[in-house]
Amino acid sequence: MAYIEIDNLQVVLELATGPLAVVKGVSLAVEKGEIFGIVGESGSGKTMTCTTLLGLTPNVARVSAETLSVGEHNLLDKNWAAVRGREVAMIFQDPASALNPVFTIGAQIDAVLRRHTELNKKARRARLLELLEQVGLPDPLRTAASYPHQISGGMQQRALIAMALSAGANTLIADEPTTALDVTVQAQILALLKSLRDQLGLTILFVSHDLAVISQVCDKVAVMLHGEIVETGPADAVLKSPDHPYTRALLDASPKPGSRGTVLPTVAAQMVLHGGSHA
Amino acid sequence: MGFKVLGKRLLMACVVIFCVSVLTFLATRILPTDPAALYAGPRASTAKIEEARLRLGLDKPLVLQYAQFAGKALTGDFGVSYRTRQPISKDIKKFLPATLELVFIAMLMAVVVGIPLGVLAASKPKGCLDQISRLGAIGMASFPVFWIAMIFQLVFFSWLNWLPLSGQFSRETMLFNPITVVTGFNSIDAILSGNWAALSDVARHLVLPALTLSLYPIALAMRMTRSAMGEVMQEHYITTATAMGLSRREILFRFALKNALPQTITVLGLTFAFSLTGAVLVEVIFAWPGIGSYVTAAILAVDFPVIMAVTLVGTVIYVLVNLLVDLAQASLDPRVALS
Amino acid sequence: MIILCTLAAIVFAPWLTSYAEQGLGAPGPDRLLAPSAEHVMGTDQLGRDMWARVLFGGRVSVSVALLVVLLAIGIGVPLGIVAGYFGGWVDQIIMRATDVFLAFPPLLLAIFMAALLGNGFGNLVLAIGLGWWPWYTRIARAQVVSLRQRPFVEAAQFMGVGHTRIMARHLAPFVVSPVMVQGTLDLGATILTAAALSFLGLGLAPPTPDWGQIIAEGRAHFPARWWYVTFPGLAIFLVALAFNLLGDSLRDAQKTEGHS
Ligand SMILES: Nc1ncnc2c1ncn2[C@@H]1O[C@H](COP(=O)(O)OP(=O)(O)OP(=O)(O)O)[C@@H](O)[C@H]1O
Ligand SMILES: [Mg+2]
Repeated sequence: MAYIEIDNLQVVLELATGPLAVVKGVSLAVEKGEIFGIVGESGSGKTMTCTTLLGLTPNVARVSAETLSVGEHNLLDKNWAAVRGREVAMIFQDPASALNPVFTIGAQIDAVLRRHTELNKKARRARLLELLEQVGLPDPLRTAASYPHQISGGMQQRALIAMALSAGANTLIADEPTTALDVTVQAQILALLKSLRDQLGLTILFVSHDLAVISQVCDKVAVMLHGEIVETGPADAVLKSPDHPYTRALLDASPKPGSRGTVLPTVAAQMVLHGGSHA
Repeated sequence: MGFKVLGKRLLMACVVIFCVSVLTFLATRILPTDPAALYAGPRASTAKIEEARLRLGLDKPLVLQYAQFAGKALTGDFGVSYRTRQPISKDIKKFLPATLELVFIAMLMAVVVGIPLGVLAASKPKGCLDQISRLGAIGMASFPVFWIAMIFQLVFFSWLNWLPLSGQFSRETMLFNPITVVTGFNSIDAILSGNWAALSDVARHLVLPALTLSLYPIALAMRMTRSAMGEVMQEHYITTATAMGLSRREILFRFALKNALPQTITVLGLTFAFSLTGAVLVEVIFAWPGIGSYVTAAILAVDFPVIMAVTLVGTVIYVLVNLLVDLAQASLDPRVALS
Repeated sequence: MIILCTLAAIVFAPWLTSYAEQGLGAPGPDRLLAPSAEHVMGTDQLGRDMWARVLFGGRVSVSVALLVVLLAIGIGVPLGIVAGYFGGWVDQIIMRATDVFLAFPPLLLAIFMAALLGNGFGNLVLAIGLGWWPWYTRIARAQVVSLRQRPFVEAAQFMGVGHTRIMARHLAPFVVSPVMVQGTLDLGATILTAAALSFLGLGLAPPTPDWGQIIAEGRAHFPARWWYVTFPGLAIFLVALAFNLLGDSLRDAQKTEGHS
């Protein structure tokens, strides 16, 4: 059995205008230590699928599935206290709004450490600095004492990754973690996620609508359209020779990702690519 | 926050206080009632009234009169009460502590009861507690203070006989355990002098007036906290905190509340204003010897200098409290504090 | 519901009691009777039927509240629209004036003015209204400021429509709905304020019935004659509650409307 198992996941929103199915029978299997990409256009249900793993779906959502599990945890039990942070953590698209503006980075990570570890105050402090170092923040002492608005977007996202690590999660859901960042920073964050996977054996569910980004980091990829998965497989295979017409359309819309491997392109080349995809 | 902002706020407060003093002053001079006639008394002869006019300086130009009034007011001299013939500032000093005692308790209740209830109500929007708190708050905002005060007297004094009807302490306390005046606040003075018998008596007398005066501030604090928290709980950083597995309690009372605090803290200013004026009514009902009772007696005696002085002092205190609230608000938010 | 009942009761007061003339002030034979089948709320110190007094008192209290709010809207809204439309120093002056008026603790200004003006219906309305208009100025101004840059205003200016006409025809309609909501909420608060003032002896001169004043009278017979203060107070509470509930749901409705 795969590490993350999703079988026939359905999410229906009970809206005032009537029920709206936004995830229609999604099935996924993600192995431990894998970086698994989910691509699809805006509104295709990527975020909704991910949030079912943490019980963070909106109040109006009705979730059902045949299997929904991460590691040992059967998520259909809704025992979220055992899952959130401890097993699965999530980072979001806009790091600026995902951090609490009136607490320092250090205080926010410390709260998570206090919750999930038995460490005493001094040990937590040491662990905090170690974590900040690990996610590549240059001056851990200063960063810990900073408020979110005092550091850059890239540093904010690193801080959030540190927070996710501090909880001790084995699984990280990264929902478009680089969309709000500029290109150089984007490449650094992607590299960081990969190296964390290599070092810590993290399993990463990586959401994006940018095929270029997916092709850089993901081992496997699933393509979503209107709440369904239309194609899934190893990233290289799917992106080089797509089966589904929608995947092909996606590929055609973005500038030649097939011509590149999973090797990081130079920053300059990537800037050109990125600019092109938005034109 | 920079000194510049501080200075600007202070300046604004001064300007407002100046305008308020001009306004109150003008109001007493423009209206048809003649201060000289009032000063001289109801059956005074025309000559007596003219004499009073001269003595009060009412024959001088308005600007001069105002200058004189303001100059004296600045040194704390509000003239003499028509009714008690005592310097008003002395009277105010005597009555203010009793009022402030009530006001502080009401504000304290708003903070320790109202704010937590608001947070809990926000934790489940549209939930049971939220609905109850909403109705409760609207209900509490609809009671006439003076009426609910009397209903409390009816229930707790006449029917249950649990609590005293009115006053600050019983006659026995006054005779056998008199409170040494230190601060003028009875409860604090009783503690300071270790007069425990008096303290319990004072506390029993304090319950009803304080409870009455607290109802609306509690309701207000609850609603304001609820609405501020409602917005904060929609923020992404709350989702992040939840996703990281933080406890509901920590999220509500630490992470969310600190963000809602700038709005919530305006509650303090508002409850202060309300308690200050509500105290007027509560004091009358409970025969509480504070500013409220003082000004009510002045109203019945058409004692203008007192009414004017109390209005002015009340407003100045209110403006200052609002200034403090503003500053507290600014210093709470690191984004404002730094810019 | 409560509002409809109260309004109906107030309008049809003369038909709901057989003691209409006592309601208006004529003394009756039996003083300070406890509630009974004949006098459901008892009688007061002049032997008047309390139910009749409360009914007729409602007429006075509710009309005071309505007039206060109308007065406040009448002063506040035009000033707010002018401030928001012209901006600049006009705006500065008007808004600083609202600051000064709002610097008074709410009831205190009303007490002060009522004490100066003396008793009487018009004076009571004026005393409360004078402290109330700045809220409407702020609401109207905020609304107009958000509209001022809209194309239709510029278009009207461009076509040479006069300022007064733009303000009255093009801007005022947008101010109506927030002002209505606030007005409803304020009716509850003004009823309470008016009751408080008349309770302090700053309201209407007897024998005109008025809830606050009936309670003040009743204090002399309290707590022995409990009905004397209980029923008029209950009336104040119910009416204030009704307006507050209505205002609150109007505000909610407006909020959700604004969001969608
Ligand atoms: N609270 C909500 N109320 C109503 N509809 C919602 C709500 N949340 C999401 N939806 C709808 O659910 C669908 C799936 O949303 P989801 O956020 O999962 O899309 P997504 O693939 O993550 O898109 P994006 O790339 O823009 O983040 C969308 O059509 C969206 O309109
Ligand atoms: Mg999304």
